Amino acid sequence: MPSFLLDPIVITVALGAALLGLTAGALGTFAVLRRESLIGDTMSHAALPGVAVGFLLTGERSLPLMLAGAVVTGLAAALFSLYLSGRPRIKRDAAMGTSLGLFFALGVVALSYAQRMPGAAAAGLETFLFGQAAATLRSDLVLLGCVTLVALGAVSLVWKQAKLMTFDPDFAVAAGADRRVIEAFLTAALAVAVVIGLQMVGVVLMSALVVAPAVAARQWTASLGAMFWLAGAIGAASAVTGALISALSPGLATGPLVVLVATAVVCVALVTSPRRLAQVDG
Amino acid sequence: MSATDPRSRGAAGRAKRPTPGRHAIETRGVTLAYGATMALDDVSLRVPVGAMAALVGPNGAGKSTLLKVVLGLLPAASGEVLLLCERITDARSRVGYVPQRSTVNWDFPADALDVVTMGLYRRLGLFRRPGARQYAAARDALDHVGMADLARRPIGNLSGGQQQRVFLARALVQDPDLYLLDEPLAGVDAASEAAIVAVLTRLNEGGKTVVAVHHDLNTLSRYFTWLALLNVRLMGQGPLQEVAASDAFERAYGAAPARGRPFWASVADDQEHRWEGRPDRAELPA
Amino acid sequence: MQVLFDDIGFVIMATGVLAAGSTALLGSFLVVRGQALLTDAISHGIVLGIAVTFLLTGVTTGPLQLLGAGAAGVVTVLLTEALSASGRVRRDAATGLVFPAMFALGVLLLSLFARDVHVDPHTVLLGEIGYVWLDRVTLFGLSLPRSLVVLGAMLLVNLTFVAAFYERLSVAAFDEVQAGLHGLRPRAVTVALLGLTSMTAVAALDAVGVVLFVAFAIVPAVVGLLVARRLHGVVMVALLTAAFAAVAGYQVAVWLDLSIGGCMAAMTGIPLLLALTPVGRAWQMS
Repeated sequence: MPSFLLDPIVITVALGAALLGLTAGALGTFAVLRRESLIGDTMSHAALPGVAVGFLLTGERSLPLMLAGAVVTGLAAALFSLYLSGRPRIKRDAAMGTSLGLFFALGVVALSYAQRMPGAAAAGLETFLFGQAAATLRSDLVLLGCVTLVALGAVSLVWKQAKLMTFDPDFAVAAGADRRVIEAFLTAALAVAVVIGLQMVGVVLMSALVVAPAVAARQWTASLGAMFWLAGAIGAASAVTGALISALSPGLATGPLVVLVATAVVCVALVTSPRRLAQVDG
Repeated sequence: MSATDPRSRGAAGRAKRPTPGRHAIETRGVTLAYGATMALDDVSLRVPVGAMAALVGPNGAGKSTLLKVVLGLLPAASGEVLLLCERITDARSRVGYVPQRSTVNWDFPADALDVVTMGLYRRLGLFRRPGARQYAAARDALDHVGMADLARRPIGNLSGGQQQRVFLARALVQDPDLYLLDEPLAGVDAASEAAIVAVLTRLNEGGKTVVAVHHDLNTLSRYFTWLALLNVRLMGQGPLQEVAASDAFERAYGAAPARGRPFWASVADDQEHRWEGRPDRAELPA
Repeated sequence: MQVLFDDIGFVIMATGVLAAGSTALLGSFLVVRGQALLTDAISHGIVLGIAVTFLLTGVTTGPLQLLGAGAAGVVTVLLTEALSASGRVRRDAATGLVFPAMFALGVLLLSLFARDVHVDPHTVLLGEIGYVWLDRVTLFGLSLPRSLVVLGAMLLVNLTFVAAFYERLSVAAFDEVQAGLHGLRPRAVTVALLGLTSMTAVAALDAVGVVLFVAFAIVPAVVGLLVARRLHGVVMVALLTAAFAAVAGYQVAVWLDLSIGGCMAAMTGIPLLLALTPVGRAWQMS
């Protein structure tokens, strides 16, 4: 075994990547099936101001705080987009684009402010644009591990309702499900999926890591459960591969590498999978 | 059906007889398939000039698809289409198409007058804007469909029936010889339905050919005089009474005749009651 | 006159106004078509075009870059449509796959091969409008910033395009089928729109980078839709919003020592918020 694989930094990076890739890929299943790929893109870009504010609150790098900020602004952007799309003549995509553009612009502004402060360099704020695997700390693994457990655990608890809401919302509501609660839950799950990988993949490209594994998995299976875990596995593998290449090549940002690996898997899936697939069901 | 039957005194009493020998639409053996499913199978439609024609059939029978093939929007796998005895590309300027409302972007920032004026854009060159004459013609067309006072209403604020009338006005403004309408009366309020039918009838009396995909069998004889029955294959075509008297309805809809009533009337009943799954109120538990 | 173009503040504001204006002008037509996020896709996709053009020709600016990156923008959209048409991937997922992949590849290539040439990913993403006054060309005896000249030309081209094809763009956005039937070439006009948008994105790269471009493409048009009821009103308001945001954004950035591009893009939010309040709602123009 090559010695670099035993380097503690490399192990940290690989573990972190595996965790976030698993969560992002698996949760991405619901996003893709519910046609919410572009909301993920909006939330990801909108996370930037949240990350900056998370730093500004304490003046030093605190991943939990920065990711929490990311979730807040990401969800705020989704909510604002929802509100806007209710106005006459404003379609959903224009609303999402507005949210995306404005929140990201605010993020850029906040970033320029934060970069004047001492400690900004150490916080590695810039790395949140394109991601930097090598910036992963051992302490980050704890956070990533917890988030993964909680997120995947929560989803498995509400699995039946989530599945029903994804495929047959009217039936689910008729059967007594509270549509708003479940939709809110699934949107929150998407926010988590997007935010968890921000440091390693960056705001600009993270949404692709949420979408690609699920799209690839979809080509091979029609079972929701299988798709969920397969997407998680593909996400983890893509993230680990991309992260390792990036960690070992100084000057190459992680985000693009991870996304290219995941996209390659999608291409393979499209080419090699059976022509016709059944509707996704149990 | 006897000539004194109230139902037969509808449109049949007023419209001109179609001109024999000339076809407004002629398709020869048109076939179209989506993968393994047949959408149209060897359809040879011949709609005479001056007809007030309805194209009917069950859901999924290919009616909209046939319209699209006739307009050249979809390529047929085989067969030919002639519009007003010419190739489609040559005849298009003399055909007015009124599509289903769902195919259009109603969030677009425009008012009713703007949409009707769009019917005249084909004659504008580059850098040219529509002028007073175009707007006057558009207002005129809106007036014909009874929407003169709604000319400046944003299209997103129009009801379904009003939107349909705007579409009809858009076709009117082009003064075509042939009108092709896709379910013009579906989901439309009574006032709009009356207005649309009145316009179409007047047009037909003036010699225009009207062909409409129609969804409501109950109103067939009231509005139309010529009929084509489609269910992937053409099950029958011709003057309404002749087709009604034949077994074409039975073959198209697979419905059995009820005693004492024409086949198509019982089919109409079936259609009406098809979606009523609920029991009568009296049968519900107290 | 030269004094004006030597004033850094004026140059930056003028660059911003031209970039924002050109972008908002074309962006309006994409937004009213319901394809706002294509601007997101295009602005990311052109990065691959920039990288490839640089690798093939060694240039980082100029007409070759405009064309190469312009083509990349169109390719992004066509590739997305093809993927979605295959039936294996839904439209939103296809969009969310194609442009990030192209962007990622472009960024990677630039990181590997264009390190020294000032087209690094960071600049591409965010632009560096603060430095546009440095790179100059001589025109009409004046020493002008290159970026200003290019953007000025781009604005002229875009205005000419819109003036010539305004009606075709409208109908293509409202009812593409009808546009085709009337010989208004909606497909060609749309591809031209996408191509010009891509070229504008490249031209605006110096000023604002790819993501801030999206803010200028979409937000002013949305402000227009909230406040105006017809297309020409939407476009006017969009242009005014863009110009305001560029000028006000610069002032705020200088005053508070913040990112100029970011402030310019963020200031589009002020008219947006105004339009969303009851004040804006009351003030509906046509």
